[in-house]
Amino acid sequence: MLVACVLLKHFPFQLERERLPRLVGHEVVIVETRRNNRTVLDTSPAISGLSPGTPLQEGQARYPEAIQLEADIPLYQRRFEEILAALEQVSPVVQESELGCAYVGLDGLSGMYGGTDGLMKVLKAAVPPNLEPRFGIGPGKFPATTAAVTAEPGQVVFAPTDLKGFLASYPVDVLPISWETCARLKRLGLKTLGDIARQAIGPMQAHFGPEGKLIWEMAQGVDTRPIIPRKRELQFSARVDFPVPIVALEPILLATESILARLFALPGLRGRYSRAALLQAAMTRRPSWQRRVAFKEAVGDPQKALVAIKYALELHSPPGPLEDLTLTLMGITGEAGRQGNLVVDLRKQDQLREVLQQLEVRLGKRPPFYQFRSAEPWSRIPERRNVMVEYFP
Amino acid sequence: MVKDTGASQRDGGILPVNEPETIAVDADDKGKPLAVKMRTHRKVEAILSCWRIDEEWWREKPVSRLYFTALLDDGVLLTLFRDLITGEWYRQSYE
Repeated sequence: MLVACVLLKHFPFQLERERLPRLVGHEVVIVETRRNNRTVLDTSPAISGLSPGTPLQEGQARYPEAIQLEADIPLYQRRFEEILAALEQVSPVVQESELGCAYVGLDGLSGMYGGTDGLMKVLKAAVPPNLEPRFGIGPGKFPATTAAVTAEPGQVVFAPTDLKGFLASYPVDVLPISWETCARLKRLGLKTLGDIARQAIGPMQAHFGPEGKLIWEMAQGVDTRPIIPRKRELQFSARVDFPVPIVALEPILLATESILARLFALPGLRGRYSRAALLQAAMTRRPSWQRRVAFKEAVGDPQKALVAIKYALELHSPPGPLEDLTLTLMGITGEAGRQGNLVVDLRKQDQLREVLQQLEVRLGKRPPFYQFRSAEPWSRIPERRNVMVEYFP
Repeated sequence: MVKDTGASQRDGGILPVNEPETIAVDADDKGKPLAVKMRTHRKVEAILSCWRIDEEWWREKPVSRLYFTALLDDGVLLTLFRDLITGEWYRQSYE
């Protein structure tokens, strides 16, 4: 099994630096909050010894002058998703390990790209060079990762054949284990992979359980864990940009309604149902916001989806001004029928649809068709009170 | 201060309604409109009402306007305002 590890060191920090160039040259700690626990997600390269998962208090004690930034997880995931999609153009077997690290299965691909050099060239081209990617190639995920760790930005390093000797001097921090297990290994005097390789497998399993066996095998250069390709879920997504950041719920719901109408009119979604929706937005001076809404039952029309999303937003409104809104419909089901109501105002809708189709034929493209809607009727600024929303009968 | 996203409107988005239109206005020293230039030059016969709005002061581009309902010499009622930040004149329906 030949595996490439694509490693983007300090990936969250790289993205924050792209967004805020003033961070260059400063010590930065990116903080993640989960259930009231604040831990370090990432740091700038200048900071050492603070691995992801380290409690923030420890980080603050060791680097009191460091700039603290709240993690913008939706942004990091979105950008990493773009990179994974590009890697999937190279190989169908791509596994996301963690944010900033992916494994790519390379078996049988060199013939497609004109040899190993061609394959490496295509692999490197899939990742933006400004993110300083490092590439490691090895006979398993862990050897590939350790090779990537030694690589310089933009460099490809192949793990040597004598893996046990190659890995002996590496610190235990490179193992794919939790911060707590890493700290325990060091307390037991096992600071390098060579120290672990010299132990018998029995005591390692006794102390660390199944993880101990995995750690021991990796220290020997053995990693039989398969690459599990990502499951790509069919999704439909659309976005609206706001000319001014908005806070009020009514315009957000109006935008949601507009996006839903657009999505449900797509040919790929016609006659199909969605089980969940994901709302994402860039916020002014805050990390991105997202809210997942699972529908009680699969919905196949925009009004039903809007009712569920409206209820969710009323319970958990966005914490600040939104600059845009992206809505993704997920959990797309196969085509299903649903008993409709015969007594509905179908005639007007049908007539409108007929007129639009006729106009489309005459003009050669779909004419813009908008509906006049109230946005902020209480506003003292007249142009904020009403808007026109694209209408799909 | 909340920044203008600067995003331009795209097809399929939400379109604004009743946006202000620029208009040329002759005003006196106190800022009261005396005449407006639309297709022709029209004198302002009377100012029927005047009010001020100051909104969104927390944004980078706050809104501060002095509105007038003006009766023109041909009997037309026109609502116009002076942007108190830029000094420009606009016409806009306030209904």
